[in-house]
Amino acid sequence: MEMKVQEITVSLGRKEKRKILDSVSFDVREGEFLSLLGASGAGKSTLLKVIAGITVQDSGAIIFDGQAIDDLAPHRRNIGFVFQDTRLFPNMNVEENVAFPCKMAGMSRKKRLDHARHLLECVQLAGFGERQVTSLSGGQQQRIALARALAAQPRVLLLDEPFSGLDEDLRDDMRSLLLRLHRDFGTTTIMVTHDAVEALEMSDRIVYISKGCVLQDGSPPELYAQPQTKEVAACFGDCSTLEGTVRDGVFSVAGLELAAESIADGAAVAVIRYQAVSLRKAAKEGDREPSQEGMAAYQATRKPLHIRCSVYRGDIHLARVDVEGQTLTVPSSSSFGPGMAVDVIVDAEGCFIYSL
Amino acid sequence: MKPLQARRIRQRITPYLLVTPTIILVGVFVYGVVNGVLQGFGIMPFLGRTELTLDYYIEALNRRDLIASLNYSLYISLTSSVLALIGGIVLSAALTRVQASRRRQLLNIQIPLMTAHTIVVLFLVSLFAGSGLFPRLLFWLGVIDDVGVFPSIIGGASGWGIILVYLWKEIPFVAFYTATIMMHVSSRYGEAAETLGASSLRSFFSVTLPLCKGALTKAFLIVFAFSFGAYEVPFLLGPTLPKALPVLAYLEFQNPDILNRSYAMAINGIMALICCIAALVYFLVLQKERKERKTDE
Amino acid sequence: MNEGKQIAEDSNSPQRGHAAHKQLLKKHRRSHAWVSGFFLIVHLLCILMPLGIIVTWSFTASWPWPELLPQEFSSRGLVELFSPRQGLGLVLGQSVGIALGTALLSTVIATCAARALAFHDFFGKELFRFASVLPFLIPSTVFAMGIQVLFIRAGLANTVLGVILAHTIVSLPYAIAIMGEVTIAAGMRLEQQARVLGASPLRTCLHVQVPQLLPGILSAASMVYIISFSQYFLTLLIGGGAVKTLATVMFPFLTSGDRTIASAYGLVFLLATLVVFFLFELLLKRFANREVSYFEG
Repeated sequence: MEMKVQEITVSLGRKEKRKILDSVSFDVREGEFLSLLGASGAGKSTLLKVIAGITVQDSGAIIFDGQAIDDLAPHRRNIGFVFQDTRLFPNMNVEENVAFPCKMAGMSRKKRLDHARHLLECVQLAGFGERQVTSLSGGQQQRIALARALAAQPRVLLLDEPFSGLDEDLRDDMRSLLLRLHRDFGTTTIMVTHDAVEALEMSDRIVYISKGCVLQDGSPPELYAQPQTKEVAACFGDCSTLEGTVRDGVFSVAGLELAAESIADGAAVAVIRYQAVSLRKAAKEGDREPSQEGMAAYQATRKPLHIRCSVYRGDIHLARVDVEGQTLTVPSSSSFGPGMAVDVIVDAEGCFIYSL
Repeated sequence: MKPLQARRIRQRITPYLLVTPTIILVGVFVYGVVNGVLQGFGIMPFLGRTELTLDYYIEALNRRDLIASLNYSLYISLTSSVLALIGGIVLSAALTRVQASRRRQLLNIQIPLMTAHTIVVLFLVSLFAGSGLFPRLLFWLGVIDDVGVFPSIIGGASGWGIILVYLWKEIPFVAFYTATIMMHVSSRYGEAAETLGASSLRSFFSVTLPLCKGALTKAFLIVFAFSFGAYEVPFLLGPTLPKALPVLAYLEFQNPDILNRSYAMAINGIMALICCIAALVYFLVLQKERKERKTDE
Repeated sequence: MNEGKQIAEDSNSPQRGHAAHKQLLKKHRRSHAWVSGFFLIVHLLCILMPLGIIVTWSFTASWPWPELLPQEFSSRGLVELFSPRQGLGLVLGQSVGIALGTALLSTVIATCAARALAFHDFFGKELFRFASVLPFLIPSTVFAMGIQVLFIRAGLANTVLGVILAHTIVSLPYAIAIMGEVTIAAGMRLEQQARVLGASPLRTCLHVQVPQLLPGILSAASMVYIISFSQYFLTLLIGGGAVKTLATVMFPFLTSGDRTIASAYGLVFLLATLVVFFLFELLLKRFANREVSYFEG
């Protein structure tokens, strides 16, 4: 199903209205897997609830296949919804839970229970039908919630942080299960997550939301390689953020100079991913190579910087380089002692500069 | 945009629909109370009287038996509610302490809760009346030497029989009202205080009890208002003089003379006023709890 | 299942330290627990002993002063009570009917009110919260004498319906208090889930909310049942002589000379409340156990 979210605005609070969502718009294509990415409190879950009809928006419209559904109560929208906290009905056993949407849709008992058993096979829980939901592990419960959400062939599947309650090693299994189900069923899917890597792995497209507004909307490689704001650039983790100034296309702070073409002069901020920087021992004065601008990797330091400390992280060491009180973190295979003078090599591809 | 508004309006009026039946019933309650109080001011439209007069109140307050009744009722209800509060705290703490199972609570709390006051009167009469079991026991032990020496539970001016009935009923009520929150508070903060070195008694007084203050105050007020305004127990066990206020009011209320009816309503007005003060305190406690809830968020 | 095991193992290790700590606390607590236990036993005796005496008295034919034990037993009390002349069966049926009707009405209304208070924001919410506890704080005697005229004019006086209505009003605060607690504890989680899976509000109520709130509904209903069953004064004023309940019929006998008849009444009264109370408890066990353990766990 094709879906449009048009200028959705929601505010909460009776006296001082606080905008949770501020004119949010994006499209979802037929069969697409779309992630709503953003920090907690950004308004992602509220948006999901607006789509589901649990929360009524102040203005704006949700359009399913060209038809506005804003006047429909939640139960008439034919959606599947998986919450983070599973929300299985404790007064029903596993297959009754999975068959619940079909029961609501008026399917006969035998038919819906057969259907439920089939779905349980799809989520690798064949034979669990008669069990009580309380007897199951968190991962099993979430798989049942997934099966239940898909049971009535929803027009869109909504997932609100579906895996964040699970252990890390379980999450990977669940992710591949969800992707397989998405492939097999072809259901248009919207997943809310705060885990940028999860969004990269799973989505056809990512909509980044911050403070109730859409910051960027694009494919995972687009968001990763061309983040349009500092927040998007930093959301993938493992990066350093440095504040400095731009003059004539060069960002500089404390002897560190980065190419910053097409950035206006003035205060700016640089987001530098770990894998885009490396260190080498500072060369003696006079031996310094001139920085090779225009190339992918170049030496960014005009004068040596000093190591503040170094931390061990198993396969690598992380060197913390002091940049006039700010910190640049650089991974390296060997440990650098505190106070050591170093030069920094930067790869332009993992380095993003934005005007403040 | 129109359908959206329809849903918003529907969502907005839902709470009002939900509270309507309660509002109607509470409205009837308030109407009854206000109507009674107004009758005390001489306003009885059903008899064609609509003039406001303070005569009945003045007359009532000038009658010596009413002042005596007021004092007696206040004495009974204050004594009962203070003792019930203390007893209730101890009972609630004891239940918390032994991590009482549901069955335990059932016996200690539910049985008294579900026993009517009138039945409790019967209990105490069987135990403490002149020929009750307790005087028999004292006689058998040689403490007293005849029927009637033991201070009677029925009609005694000291009112200890009435107070005992209220205690038997209300100590478990206070515990019922506070045990849940006390168990919660104790397991959450009390244990924390104990790991920080407070003795269990100290942690109870410095952490658990202050955190239950709201619930305890509310329970106290409910017990006070109830024992102040209840008819059955003082009617059955109270002395001929002074009568408890509700007993006096009903006596006047039954009198065929309509003047006495106004007089009864004036007494009710006085009772309502005192209970309104209790209600006001209750309201303040609610407000305070609400504020605390807000800061919690 | 591999992953289930994994979870169990994972959650085990960090909790082990916590468990040891709890163990220590428990030991520490147990050392003082006997004081509480002793107190609870004494309290329990105070609760149960009078019950025993009532049972004994109701089967006693002769118990002259100053004997400690009855000298003769007979079933005279109960036989006389249930003789067709007394019409006690009808009275009992009417009492149970009124109490059940009140329980139903009060619980349904309280469930709605509790829902509004728990999940909705509306104009005058705090005032409503306060108004809903007013019948707790203003004596029902004041209310009863004030409302009598209105009930007479509305044709509700001396009718079962009128009595049920009056009982519902005074029992509502209890029901709202109990339902409020369970409604907040249940939250909107499952309800929202049902709605987005295609359940209409009515079916959500049937399949999700009622099962979820059942423990609260049953305990509110049993509480209201007992309150209604025990009402004397209100029933007397609203029901006049026409609506007879066990509480009103029994009342004159309580302090009368014939202890056997009074105790027999008391016994029937206690049994009538106990039977219904345990019926509710049984229902609770039968239907609500799964949910209770789920929501607490």
